[in-house]
Amino acid sequence: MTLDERILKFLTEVLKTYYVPLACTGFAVLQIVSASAGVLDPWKGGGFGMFSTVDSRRMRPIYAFLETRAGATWLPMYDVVPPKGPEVLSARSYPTAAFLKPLARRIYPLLLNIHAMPGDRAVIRIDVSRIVFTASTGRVSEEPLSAYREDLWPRR
Amino acid sequence: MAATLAHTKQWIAGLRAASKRYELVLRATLLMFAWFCLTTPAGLAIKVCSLIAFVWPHAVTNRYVWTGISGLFAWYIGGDRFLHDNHMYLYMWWAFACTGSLWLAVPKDRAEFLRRNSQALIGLAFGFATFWKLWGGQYIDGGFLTFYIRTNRDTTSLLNSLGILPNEVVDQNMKALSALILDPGIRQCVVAGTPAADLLAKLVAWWTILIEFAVAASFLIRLPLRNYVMAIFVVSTYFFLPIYGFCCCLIVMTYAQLEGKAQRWQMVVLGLFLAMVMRWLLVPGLQ
Repeated sequence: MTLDERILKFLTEVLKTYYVPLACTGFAVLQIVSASAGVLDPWKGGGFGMFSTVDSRRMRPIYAFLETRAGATWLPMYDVVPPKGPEVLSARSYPTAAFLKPLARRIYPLLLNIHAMPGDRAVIRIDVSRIVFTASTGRVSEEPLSAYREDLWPRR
Repeated sequence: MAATLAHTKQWIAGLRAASKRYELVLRATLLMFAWFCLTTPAGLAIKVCSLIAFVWPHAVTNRYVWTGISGLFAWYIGGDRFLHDNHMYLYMWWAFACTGSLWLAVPKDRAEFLRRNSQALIGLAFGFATFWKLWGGQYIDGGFLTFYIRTNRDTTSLLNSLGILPNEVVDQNMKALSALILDPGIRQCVVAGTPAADLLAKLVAWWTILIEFAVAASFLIRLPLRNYVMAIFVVSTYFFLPIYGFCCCLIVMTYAQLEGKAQRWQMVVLGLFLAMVMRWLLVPGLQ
């Protein structure tokens, strides 16, 4: 058996025996990169980051606003979307446009009674923050994490 | 009584055979899936399949049944992979390992296949957990645990009865935090603590990093003392924190990686599992 064949046999054996730990490593590394560089909840996604940081889905305030020329109006989002429904949970865990857009669409029923005049401009905005804790003072504050805006009138 | 004892002894003696231990691991895994998977459509499908496989003769070692369960896990996790906790991922990897043992290993090597995979998976899980605790920047100085103790009911009764942190303080903190999270008009608040609770948080944080690193290293390097380290971790963590799913998975995987000759450890791990179940059922006040 040549050296190449021996190496190939060894690698095949390793892959055959340890394909699950290798896949686990791949997912965990992907989660660590996504959470460190982006907005993914460190507690979720298979990277074993639970109980390591204050920043978890539960500690991410999420608010919806209607922006018009008159200013921003807070929308009672939980009147139409369940707080523990998949849209809210996904938006808190990974607040990217892909997950915030479906949530914005679910809030539309709240806007049924709002009438637009010609020339008006209205935007629906969803803000997601994370909690920051300062141990020395006990102070808990919000830090903006992600925001999504969707034009309602005029439609683009 | 004597007959039951004799029967139990006979059953335990039977576990010397690798095939018996292997089957016990698969059965315990199926029971764990049936108990802990959530009630989403995919989770329910896993529950039902696992229960059927548990009671149906010969299904426990049927590779097609396990392939089906693994496929359901892939569907379950893949559907919304940002929503699932670590223990669900660990269940999925463990289901894949069980399936792999049935497809890729000949019957006499199946227990060895699972043993290697469980050692690697435990080592990796704890290695990544340690990494997050060091990398996250909020753990090593006790910051995360200080916040957790001040705002969580899991440890309230114990700390209150020890005079470390009164229940009323935790209740007030939780109200303030809840208002901060739900009310857009509130942008900050203060959660109070006590010096004793803060010191405890720091000590627990350092201990956790030390013991998790020890578990990771001892399982990845396959040190002989790994079983002792795992037993210390399980008792020192899950006796106080009710994280049932992850604890059960760890105990099943720890049992799977025991060597055939480690009879004493087989008894210790089974005893540890029973002790944890009894603690959760009988002493809920410690939470």
